[in-house]
Amino acid sequence: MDCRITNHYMEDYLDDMLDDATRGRFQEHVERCPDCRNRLARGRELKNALNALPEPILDPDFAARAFKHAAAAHTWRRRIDTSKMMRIAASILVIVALGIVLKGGWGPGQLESPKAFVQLNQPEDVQLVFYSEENLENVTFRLEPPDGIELVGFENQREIVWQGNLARGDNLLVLPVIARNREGGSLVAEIRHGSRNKQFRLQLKVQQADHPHPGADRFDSSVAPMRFI
Amino acid sequence: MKDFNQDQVETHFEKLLRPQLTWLYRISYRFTGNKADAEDLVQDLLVKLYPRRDELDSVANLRPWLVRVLYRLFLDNERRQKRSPLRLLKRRPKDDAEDPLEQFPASDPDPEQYTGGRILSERIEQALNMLCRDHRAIITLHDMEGYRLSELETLLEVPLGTLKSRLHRGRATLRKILEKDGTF
Ligand SMILES: [Zn+2]
Repeated sequence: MDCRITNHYMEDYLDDMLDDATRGRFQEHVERCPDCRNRLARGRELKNALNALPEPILDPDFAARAFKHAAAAHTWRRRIDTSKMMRIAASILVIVALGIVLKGGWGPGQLESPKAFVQLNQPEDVQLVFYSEENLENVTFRLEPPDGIELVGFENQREIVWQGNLARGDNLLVLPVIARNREGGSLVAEIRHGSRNKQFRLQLKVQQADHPHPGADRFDSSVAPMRFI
Repeated sequence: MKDFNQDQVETHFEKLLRPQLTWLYRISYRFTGNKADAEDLVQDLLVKLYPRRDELDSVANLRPWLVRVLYRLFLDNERRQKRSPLRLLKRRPKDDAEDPLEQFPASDPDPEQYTGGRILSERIEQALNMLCRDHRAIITLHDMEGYRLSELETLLEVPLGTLKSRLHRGRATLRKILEKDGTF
């Protein structure tokens, strides 16, 4: 066996996946080849280091919380499933179009609030449309939902920040939100690029699930694109 | 009466899974690379299993069964995050493509973060976080949790050859990262 073939079998050797004959020839080569011996040692070193990682510590109160939530989530889901029809009605998208002209149009000022209606305890998609005049990279996005409104998948997070790009033209951001109480409030969306930043506030109004607002009205009241220059 | 039964059911569910929680969390932590996502993954698993608690009762060997469900859930969550609300989607002009929504590539982790005087295990955790989910999963389950590849082939329903190539590429990437930052 030469170095090239030894190298080829290296990982299988580490995983004890070689048949006896091949393993014998592998070991033979390694014994007389310092390079391959060195490579083998590094392979072992990595495996040892992986196994020496400290055990992540689970919060002591996590178990109680998690089991309680598992049972509660199930109850909640069952209730939702029985109201499938209602969900279909509620799935009409609330579209809020926020036109932003990024070039030269950035100011610290607060902007007029568009409104969207969501129903209590039902996940609904709110779509935000951001218009940009140019391609922008490394844009920082920050979202801050009001108390009592959660972003599905980011429950209990009062602030979500991430980096991304804005394309020239319309950019769509889909936010699945769920209202946990009737308060509503403003969802703050902030876009930062370099030293420029712009903040939007989207007014979320919460309705009772059993008194759905007529779809058309909801749609009309929130679809009007708004351009901020 | 109904409440009483409900309580008993929950207790039984908890009794079965509570002893597995530390272990599930450890795997989830290695999969996801951080506390919040690991907790979410374990939480999602419990939510998913709760309606299946009768089935759970009849599973003879719980751990491999749980690994399978956890792995699937991890992949599903990752997929869901790719479609996630919190990534910006580009609206393309109508004539441009069949798919009106094109996703932006996720931003790469900043290599600057991976230098400096961190201790070995922190560096290795950082390096693990830079791997793709498939490589992270196989390294976790095989190199760290000790599942044999042949076992994982059945559990994860991924061909052995694919598992091997993921494992080898994952390790090679790890070594490269760790060599580059001077750890190895
Ligand atoms: Zn050699």
